[in-house]
Formats: sequence, C-alpha cells, structure tokens
Amino acid sequence: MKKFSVPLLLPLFTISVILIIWQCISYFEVFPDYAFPTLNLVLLSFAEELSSLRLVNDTIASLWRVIIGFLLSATVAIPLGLYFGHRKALRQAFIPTLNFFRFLSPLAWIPFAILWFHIGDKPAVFLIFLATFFPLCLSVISSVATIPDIYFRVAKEYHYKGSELLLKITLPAILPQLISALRICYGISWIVIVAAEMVGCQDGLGYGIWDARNALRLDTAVCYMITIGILGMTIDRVFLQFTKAKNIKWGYGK
Amino acid sequence: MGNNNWVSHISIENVSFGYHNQKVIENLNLKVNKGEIVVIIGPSGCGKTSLLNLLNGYLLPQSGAVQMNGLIRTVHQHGSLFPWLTVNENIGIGLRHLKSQRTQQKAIQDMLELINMEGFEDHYPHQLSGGMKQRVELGRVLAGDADIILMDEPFSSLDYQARLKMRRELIGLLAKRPKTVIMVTHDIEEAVQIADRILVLTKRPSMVCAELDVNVAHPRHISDPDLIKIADNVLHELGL
Repeated sequence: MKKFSVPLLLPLFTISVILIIWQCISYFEVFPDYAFPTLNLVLLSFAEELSSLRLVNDTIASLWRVIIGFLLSATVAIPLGLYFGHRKALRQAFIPTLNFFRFLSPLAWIPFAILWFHIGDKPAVFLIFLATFFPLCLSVISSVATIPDIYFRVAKEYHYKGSELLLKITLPAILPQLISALRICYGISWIVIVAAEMVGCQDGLGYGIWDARNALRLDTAVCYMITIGILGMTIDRVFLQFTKAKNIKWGYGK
Repeated sequence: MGNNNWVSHISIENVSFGYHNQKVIENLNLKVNKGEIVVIIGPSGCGKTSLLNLLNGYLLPQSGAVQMNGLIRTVHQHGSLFPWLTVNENIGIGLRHLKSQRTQQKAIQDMLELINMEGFEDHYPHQLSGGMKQRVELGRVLAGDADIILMDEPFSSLDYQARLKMRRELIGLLAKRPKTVIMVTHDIEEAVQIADRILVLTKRPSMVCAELDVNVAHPRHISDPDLIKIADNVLHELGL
C-alpha cells in the first residue's frame, strides 16, 4: 500500500479541522443560517453553479482579466525595471514617484477606471495593471541594483554587451527575486479582480460574489470564495515549480 | 587556448592613485616579464586590490602609466562564477571566442580534465566545495586565450588544507598553460610557495619597499630552509 507523506497529510489535517469547526458553528447555530451557510448548503450551491455553467463562465472571465492585466503589467514593468535598475540617475528620479503610486490602493482608481473604460473587461484589466505594475517594477529595479558588481566585472572581461549582457547576465541574476515578485503580484491581482468585478463588470468571480450578496445567497458567495482560493493556490503552484529549476534554485538556498 | 607566441608583459611607471584626498599608491614602478609569477604582499589596506584594479582597468591612475601587453583575466577574491550556469557553461565563458561548438566542447573537456573536474560538468556552483569552485574559476581563466592573469587573494576563503592543495594545483596548471601572473595575497607562506618574485609594499601610500626573487624549484615544501629564509625577509620588510 502506498504511504502518504507527512507534507501531504499535514494540510489535509488542517483543512479537516477547519471543516469540523465550520460544521460545529453551523450545528450550534452561532450565527443564523442566512449569515453563516452550512457546508451542505455550500456543496449544493457548488453543484447548482457548476450545472448551470455560471461558475465555469465566471472563472474563465476572471482568469482572462487577471492573465491579460498581469501580462500587460509584467511586459511593461520588467523591461522598465531592468533599464532603470542599471541607471542610478533614473532610479533616483523615478523611485519616489513609483513608490507614491505603489501606496495608492488600486480600489481608489475604480471611479476613474469606470469613467475612462466604462464597464466590461477593460476597467478590471486596468486596475490589475495598476495594482501590479508599481510593486513589480520597483522589485525589478531593486533586484538589478543589488546584483553583485563582480558579475558585471566578469561580464566586462568576457565582452558581454548590450542585449547579451541583459539576457545572459542581468536577467538570470535576478530571476529568483523576479519569480518571487511575480508570485506576490499575481496574488495582488486576484485580490484586486474581485473588487474590480464587484463594481465594473457583469460577470466574473467578483461579480458572482456581489450578485450572491444582493440575493442574500451567502452559500453561493462562499462557493465563489472557495473557487478563488483554489485557483489562486493552483496557479501559485505553477510559479513554485519555476523555483525548482536547477538554474534558479541557487537563489533560494540549497 | 595556449599560445606559444605570447609576448605579454606588464609595465607600471610612476603610478599614483588615491581616493578623494587620500593617497593609496604613490609613484609605484613595476615591470613583469612574460611568464613570470609575481606575488604582491603588503599590510592590510595598503592598496593591493586597488593596484589590481588599476591593472585590469577598473580604476584609472591619477598619474603615471600602466601598460598591459596582452589579454587580461582576473580570478577574484570572492567567487565570481555565475551561479545560474553549470561548471561546463562557466568554463565555456572563457571560450566564447571559439566559433565552432565542437571545438568549444573539446576545449572545455580538456580543461575539465586539467582541473580534475571531470564528472562535475553539469553541477552548479552551489553544489561544489570551495576548492572545486576555485578550480573552476582557474579553469575559466586558463581555458581562454588570456596572456595575463590577475589574482586577488584567490584562496583566502579556503581552509588551510585546501589552500595547500590549490597552490600545488595552480603551479601544475601554469606549467601546462604558462601565463604571466600577478597575485595579491596577505599569506606569506602562499607567496613563497608560488612566486618567482615577491614584491613587498609599504603602508599607505604604497610603495615597493622590497623585491625578493624566489629561486627555488617546484614543488616547494614550506619547510624548505630557503623558503623560510625568504619568508623571514618578507616579515622583516613588513616590520613584523
């Protein structure tokens, strides 16, 4: 018989404890039914949402917005961070501004997003872009600025220049930090998409939660919340696989 | 690749250098013949690393002239292997000038054999011991077509036994791939075991206070009376 490993059993144990606590709260009616749905109700809601394909469609809509917003942000933030990271004057000129915008909650931009892009995918994509661009760009700048000088000295001796220097020295040198930054920013994207879809969309997981709230169907809202959590964790596992690559592992210790 | 017609030598004439208003090196003169191994020794903070940086062009002298006839490669004090590249790829950096992949692979294989790292070609630096990393560093500079090798306390991070071993290996490698070498160290024992000539520097501002020829055949044992005598002379020049 195949043995279960401890790393697999421990999270299962934690989840079981949470489910037991959930059942106990429902059983002893700590909160009324409408304010704290039972596990059974949530499972029924899952079946209902899946059979109507609403959950699937909303998941696809949210994933699409997150992927587009996140890719756009990474496409602009990473090259800009690499460029700024190499230039002290540019760093000094732009870091205070980038920091200023980093501290502005993306939710503060919601009115602008709706006025500029109306409703649909665009405002959500715009908000994800704003939420992830500044931390990602700053992280890349700081990673490049802290690359040990010795690598550039060696690169100079062996005549690495221009794009070759960027792609073969700078980028691999920051890859471990870059993957960590992408993981964090991806997490931010999921937080923001829910808020963005609550006000600027007609579908998506965030809209689903908002719609369920309006119908006082917290069982459906919980089913959407669980979906967001599972999706987030699954995609984070994909990022985690990158950190296990042999030419990146050095950045995470032995 | 080894080049039998190499003509490198180093010439430093009246070189002075300083940071802000503090003079680090003053009127330093030095000539290094091709194939010579010169070891520079001096008190801590006397400007040994600054001198190497003047030689490899990272720093510019405030006055005087530095002439380096040949391609320079540096072995750094703290490891400079790229951690995202394998041993194979790190050595391959020294062979970037070779156009053919096959020639490059052959040269890497030869170097792996020379530095005793066969079987470790696919390892990453973090999977190697300190001594192995230094061997790969040496492999990288020796594999290329460098004429002059600058070494900044290359074995200082190794334990005593590894240092003894690496000194022997360095001499062996240089016998097979002769290069002009300038090494900076604070280890007198290392200096007398490796050098053809030892230069003793004064405190800041640095000047050459003594030049000692080491005419002892390799392999040199640290208990050799001639080496002990030279080491005593170095200590005397350092005022110790």
